[in-house]
Amino acid sequence: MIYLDNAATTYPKPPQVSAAMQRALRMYGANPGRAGHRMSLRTAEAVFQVRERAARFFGAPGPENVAFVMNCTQALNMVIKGAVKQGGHVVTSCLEHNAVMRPLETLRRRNVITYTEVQVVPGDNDATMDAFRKAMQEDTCLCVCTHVSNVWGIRLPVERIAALCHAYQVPICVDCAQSAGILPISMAENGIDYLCAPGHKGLYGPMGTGLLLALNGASLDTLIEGGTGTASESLVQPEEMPERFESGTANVPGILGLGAGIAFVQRMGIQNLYEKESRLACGVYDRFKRSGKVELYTPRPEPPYFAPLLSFNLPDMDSEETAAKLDRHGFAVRAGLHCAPRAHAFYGTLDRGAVRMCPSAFTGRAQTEAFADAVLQIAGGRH
Amino acid sequence: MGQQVVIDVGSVTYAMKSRELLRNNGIRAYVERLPRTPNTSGCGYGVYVPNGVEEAEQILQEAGIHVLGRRERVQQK
Repeated sequence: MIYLDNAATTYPKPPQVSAAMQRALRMYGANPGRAGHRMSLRTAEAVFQVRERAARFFGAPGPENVAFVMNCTQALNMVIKGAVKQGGHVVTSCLEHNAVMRPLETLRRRNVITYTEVQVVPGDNDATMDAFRKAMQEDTCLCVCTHVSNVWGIRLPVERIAALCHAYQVPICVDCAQSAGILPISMAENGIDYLCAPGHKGLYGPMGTGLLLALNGASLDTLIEGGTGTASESLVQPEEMPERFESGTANVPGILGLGAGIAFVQRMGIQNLYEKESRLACGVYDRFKRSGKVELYTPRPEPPYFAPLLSFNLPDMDSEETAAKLDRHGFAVRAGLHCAPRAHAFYGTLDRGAVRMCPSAFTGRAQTEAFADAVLQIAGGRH
Repeated sequence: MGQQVVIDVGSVTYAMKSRELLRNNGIRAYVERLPRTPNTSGCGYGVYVPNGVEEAEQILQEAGIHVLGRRERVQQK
């Protein structure tokens, strides 16, 4: 099988990731941050090192700004539901995943907030910025937007949106589900207040890992409270990060696997990976474009305006049918709506979805060429 | 020999951050679980600083680390 569903979760993982997880189970079996015995402290030390690595990787002020969570969706829920105020207004984009839209819609239906979806203009960041500016209201209490559309690979100018938000004294939360480990991003340099990231996609960690990075975690209300190993005499959840958001026993094997995944990305070089994967995605795009047999929606997915992924359709064929045929040819891709109906509505694919392919660090040119061959065979009726 | 103290910084994360900060400033520091006393909870962590507690505490505070107090260290037997 040739795996091109890396936008859902990367596969395979680097061998260092499984080695780190096995080491965790063998050597770091005690609960970190709870006891004073040597194995507990050793385990806490190993977790701390991953925290430091993640903080450096994302330009956070320090390791205490990094909370380990289950996935990006959990991190986004924690920020959205923790930051909004009764009667407040939220600004978001028209390309969001349901990890953003469903929390917002839930809050809207409970009459807690209203929200505005800003129309993104691909390839025209000035027009996109104008739209964000117009969406700002006096009662806007949060801006939450994706860094990269998980369907179309469109990159939003989050550093400019962040600057706009700060001018209005509105905190910004960036959904880095499709960009963490693929596009460079820095909380400090890009002015991001909350950064949410999955551990299992571009960071090559295991599933069930994610990150919430917050400049000021104490400003967020909590969704989950419980034991933190600190100030146990108090019934009040601590204000200090990261413990504020890490009640309960940590996923130590997952965290150490995630640390190994981030180290892998650092060793490979995020810019190298971005350029290599973009060349692969653009190669497939070019083959499709030349053939005239494939429905393409976006411009060529090249840096810096796109992340390396490509969604398409074949004429008169449902996306699920195309993906099923590709599966029979030995290619793993994702069809349907990708949990992002608003993004599909943007390009008019809500009724049939689209087929999405996404390379990873482990994808080679021969694989993407074979993929393009298979798609064009199916398009030509030879399958 | 004077009293050995642990600087209470709350969590194991802050204790490890404090240790790194102090070591970068040439001060030996070790992460330890806080001892329980009749007046304080035992839950939490701090840094044991064998020498230069005053200077260490000042460095931590200047770095924005919330120092919660000092605890008498439980002697290792």
